[in-house]
Amino acid sequence: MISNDLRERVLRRAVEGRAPTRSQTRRTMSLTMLAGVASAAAILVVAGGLRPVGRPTELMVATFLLATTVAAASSWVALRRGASMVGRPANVIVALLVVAPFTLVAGKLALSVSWPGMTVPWPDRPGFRCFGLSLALGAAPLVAYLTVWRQRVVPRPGLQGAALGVAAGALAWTLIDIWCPVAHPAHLVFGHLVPMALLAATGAAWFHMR
Amino acid sequence: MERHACGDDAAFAVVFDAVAPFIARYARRVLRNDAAADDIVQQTLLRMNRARGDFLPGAQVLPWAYAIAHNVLFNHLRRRKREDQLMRRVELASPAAFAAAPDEQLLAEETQTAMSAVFATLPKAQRDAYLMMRRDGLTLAETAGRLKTTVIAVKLRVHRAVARLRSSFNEGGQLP
Repeated sequence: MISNDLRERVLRRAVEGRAPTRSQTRRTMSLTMLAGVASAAAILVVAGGLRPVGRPTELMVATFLLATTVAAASSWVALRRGASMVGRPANVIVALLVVAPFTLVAGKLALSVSWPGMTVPWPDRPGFRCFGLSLALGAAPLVAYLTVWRQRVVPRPGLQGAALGVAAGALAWTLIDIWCPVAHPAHLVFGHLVPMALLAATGAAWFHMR
Repeated sequence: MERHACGDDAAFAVVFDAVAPFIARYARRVLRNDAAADDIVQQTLLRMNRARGDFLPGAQVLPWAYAIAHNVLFNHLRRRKREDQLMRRVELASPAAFAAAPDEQLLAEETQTAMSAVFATLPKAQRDAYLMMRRDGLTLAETAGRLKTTVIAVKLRVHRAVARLRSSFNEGGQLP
């Protein structure tokens, strides 16, 4: 039984603290995410932007399209909640955490071996610069994604945070793919994949601590 | 909820009437305390109101409300546990804090240390029952309700806790 006093108190406080409507919320979220992606793009421009050197243009276009597809799919799965207010099922999120990084690495290698000499090691490029730039590129989108998700009910905070980190990491991978011509497996793992894992861990930790 | 999300403030009363009884029942079942349950209802509904702009068209309201209520309840229980732990620490430290003379203070500190050690060896069920009755002043029935057990079980737990403390301090002595 709900008392009239409680009912009136809650309704009064709801009116006093008028919450944003759906259209206002959507506009804020869109601007937040746009700011995150634009910041990442700006960082890439400062770092040198598009660098079509050291590899055929067709290969660069192919890997970029692959990365863009994976990043778009990752963002779709991680940022949207499907039909439920409490987010996607755990198995869908786990699938994202496994499939997205694997597809990016395997796809990049599979496409690169089609061109001779594209997967050879570059002794002067072990991956430190890519590591740092990947983290910098992924940080701004991750902050935007976490901002959008901070008020939502999350039954599995660790998984959801990791999914947002992977989505941000996939976006960073896409951007750095047009900057870095190296496709040696060790470089890809250290310079491109490990930052994605760190972004995922950061997202998971943030959701746990909030 | 759909109308409320689109900006119809008056629709929140309809949401409240539809959701609040379920949340209240859920909170009362867990907390066994009407006032605390009302607080959970209030927090849950206000959070739903704040998040109205994020409500998905066509989504189910009740599972969402339960998920929010679950989080609010979890936070409430966690806060209460921390407060209980703090109270326990204050209670165990108080004899030393209020002792006047140095020899009394020393005795009180020794007693406190010894009691803390013995108290820590008691099973959790006995400790909880003892604290609820002796410290919080709850009745047997209230303690049984909180611990989700029977009055006889509470009696037994408190009796065992007292016996253990008494035997640890002195043969025929007083409990501090």
